[in-house]
Amino acid sequence: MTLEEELKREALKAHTRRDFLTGCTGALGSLFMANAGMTSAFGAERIQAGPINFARDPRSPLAPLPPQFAPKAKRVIFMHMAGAPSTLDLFDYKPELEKLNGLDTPASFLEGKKFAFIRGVPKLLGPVYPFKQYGESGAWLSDRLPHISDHVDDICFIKSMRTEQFNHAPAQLLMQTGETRAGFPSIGSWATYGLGTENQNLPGFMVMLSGGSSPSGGTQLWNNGFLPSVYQGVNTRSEGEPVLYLNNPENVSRPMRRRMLDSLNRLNQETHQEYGNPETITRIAQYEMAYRMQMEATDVLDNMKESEKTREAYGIEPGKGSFANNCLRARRLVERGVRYVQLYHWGWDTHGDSKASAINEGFKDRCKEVDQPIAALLTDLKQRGMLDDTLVVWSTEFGRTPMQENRGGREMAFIGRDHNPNAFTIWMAGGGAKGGVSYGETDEMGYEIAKNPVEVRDFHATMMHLLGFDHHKLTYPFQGLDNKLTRVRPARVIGELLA
Amino acid sequence: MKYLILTLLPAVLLICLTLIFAPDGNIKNDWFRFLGGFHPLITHFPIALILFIPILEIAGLFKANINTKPVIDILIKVALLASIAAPLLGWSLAWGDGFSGDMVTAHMWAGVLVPLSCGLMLLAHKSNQMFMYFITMVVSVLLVSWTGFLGGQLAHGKTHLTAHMPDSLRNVLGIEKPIVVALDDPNTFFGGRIAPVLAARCVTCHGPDKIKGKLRLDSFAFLNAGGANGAVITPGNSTTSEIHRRITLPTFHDDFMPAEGNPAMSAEEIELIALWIDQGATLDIAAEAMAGAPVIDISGLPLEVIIPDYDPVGAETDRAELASAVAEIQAKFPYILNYVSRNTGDLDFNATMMRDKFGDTEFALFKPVLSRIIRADFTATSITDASEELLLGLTKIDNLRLNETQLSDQTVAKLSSLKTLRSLNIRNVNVSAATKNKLATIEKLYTN
Repeated sequence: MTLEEELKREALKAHTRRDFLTGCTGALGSLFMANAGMTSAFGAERIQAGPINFARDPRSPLAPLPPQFAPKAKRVIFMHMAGAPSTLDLFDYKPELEKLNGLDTPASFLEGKKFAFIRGVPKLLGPVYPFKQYGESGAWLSDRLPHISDHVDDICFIKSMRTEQFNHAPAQLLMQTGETRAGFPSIGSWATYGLGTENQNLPGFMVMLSGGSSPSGGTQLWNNGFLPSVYQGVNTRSEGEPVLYLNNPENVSRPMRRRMLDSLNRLNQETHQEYGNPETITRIAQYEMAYRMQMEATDVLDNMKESEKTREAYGIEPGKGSFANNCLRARRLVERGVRYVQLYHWGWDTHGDSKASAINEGFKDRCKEVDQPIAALLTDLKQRGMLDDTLVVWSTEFGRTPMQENRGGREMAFIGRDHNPNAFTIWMAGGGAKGGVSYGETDEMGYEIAKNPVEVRDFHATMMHLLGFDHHKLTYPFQGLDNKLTRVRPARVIGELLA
Repeated sequence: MKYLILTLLPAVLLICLTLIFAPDGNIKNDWFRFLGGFHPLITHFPIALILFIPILEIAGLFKANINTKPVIDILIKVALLASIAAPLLGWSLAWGDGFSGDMVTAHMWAGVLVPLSCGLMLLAHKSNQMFMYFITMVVSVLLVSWTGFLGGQLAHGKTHLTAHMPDSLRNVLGIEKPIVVALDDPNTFFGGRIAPVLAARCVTCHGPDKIKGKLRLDSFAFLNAGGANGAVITPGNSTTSEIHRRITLPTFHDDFMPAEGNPAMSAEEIELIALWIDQGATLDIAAEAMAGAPVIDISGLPLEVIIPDYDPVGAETDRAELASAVAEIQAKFPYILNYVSRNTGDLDFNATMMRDKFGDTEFALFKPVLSRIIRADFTATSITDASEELLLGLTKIDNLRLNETQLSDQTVAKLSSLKTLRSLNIRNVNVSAATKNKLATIEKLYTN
């Protein structure tokens, strides 16, 4: 018996009575589905244009597909400030709160509220830094973001975001996947599933981390969930080789690598012919992409290819991994046709329990780390005419309290704020977002939403709209549900944010 | 006697059915709705057949040598069968789909009386009672016409026959012109207070551009005319008004309005609409008539977003002309040429991934599709002045990126003739100040 015959026999043996019965129910199910299809064909309202077909040749799973309607944004750079910076000290100016600084928090603020660390009666904490108006739009910003302040007329602030989670990991998951539990596709996965990517020599969805630690949501934040695995975000390292094992090992030449891949592909082809699993073809495609990436990725991720002047504009220190480095890489990636670039910058969890996490100390450094690179990125994109169709998002997972944190009911040495899921600010720029706009309002304390609340799913629906999709239509069938990024509750595309 | 029973029994049974199971406005089993869908189809048979009987009789008067009697006999029998089937299906539609209302009831009763009069006509014709035959024929013709007219009003709106009547004829017949003005007098309660709310909340989908469910809400006349499911307001009674039912449903309900995830109407808006309907829902109520009515500031209302319908059929038509040319190019140059969206035949061109491997020879192969390219990206490709004519063939171009190419000043200057161009990128292209000046009319010009 040849090896092949033996394998075939083993495969058959593995097919048990249970498998057979499972297969039967599957067949019943498909009969049912066929029938259900019939009724909907006759039903009056349900017959529209049918679901959008996202099927592709498994050999090119990232091939570009047109969106549903003409898009405003062709690509996305999403910057997530992991740990939740206090937007009360950056964008959401509260003069009333300033007046009440240091007073005991009224009981009505605390009744029925749960906090991560605040106990007893905390003191109110006004804006820690002075605010000023900038630009023609007169946006209020604190003095911590002097570079971004120059761009406010291109920025669309959403000051009335709220979330359902007050712990970092689930709140980050909600912001990135639309669901508070692990196992759901991230926005970047949905975008590459729906649109593919323009450059077949690079992944369509790339992730870069900075700030010394991964976001607490972990790799689930750029996971493909139930979507095919090719739509998962590819994480590059910020220091050293950006993509591990991309270069050929010593004494292995590129032609030799090619021959190895060819043999491997032949084997995989045979496996595919035998078992017919499309993921096998996808695997071949992934090997091929890695081979092409050897050339292109090394080149595109190399910031040294940029001029000294450009690197200086971003504030890049040579040889050091940083948010600035990642911002420049992000621009280089989207320029080469990468669909979705996700940046995480860690270290914003400013409780005030240590110097590094104090709003009057470590927070300043964090602001410094992101302010200049973000401004340089916006300038760079604008000069290149790319801001028109590149959506830049600055976001976080939740807000922080207008009260000073008093961990365990005691006064603390540094100034900090506790988690507040009820109100925070995020912003967008370019890609069809309306510049110079400030949408929504928090109350006079910046504690709750006073006007035009925006749920995370509303924001997702708006992003999908800018990318050319009705968020109801970008779906993937899984476990009996046509899953979508905005999940099951009604979500609204916020027209006020669209240019 | 047997013949008598056979002829009239179905008609009587039909009357009993409609008496006992009168449509009550609730949606029922899908089978009823499914069968009901055939009502508009079958309903044309009794109309045509019954109307043909007098025509045949009149024709018979002039051609004495033709014996029309056996033909008419068959005609009446088929008409009878059809006139039984049509109201039966109609009842199924009304019962299953939850139709109700005065017009539905009138249409239904006229409809179920047709087979009765048709049956009597058959008996009279059989037994040669010419006077009875004449009477029943006239009654049948009138009944079926009236039923058909009511049915037309149900399906196409009350004014379906008079809507486009010329004024001269309108004056002779004394028929008033239906109100079609879009704006109602702002001094009326409707025009000043209800219409702005409808405009902000409903008109995106129920307006001149998009008429979902055949319902328009951009004027009093349209609101009054109702939509595909009939009237949306019951003057004097908000609780039985469809519009009120829909806006007060739980948001997850399939019938909830505003649909598409748009936010629910506020309690004040709902109260305002209810008040107006309860007061009779007319145009005569003055804007200030109801002292306690809520005042709504529409400036703070959320902006509705028009989400283009997914229209693959329209796209296919739009693409048909160039489909094979596009497919050929896509096969030759994968990933460079794509449709802008799934709703159009317009094209997006991006050759930057090929860098200097994309030059004039390659671009020449795109000639057949140039006129449909909306966006073209040549960044860092090796095209030269040899492609000038091709570039000028981009007659629908909106966004053109030529940065980092070797094009000359003269060629770039000629791009000012591209009338649709709104964004041009010529960074790192060697162009003179004069050329930049010439191109200054382009909305977005990116230069060094």
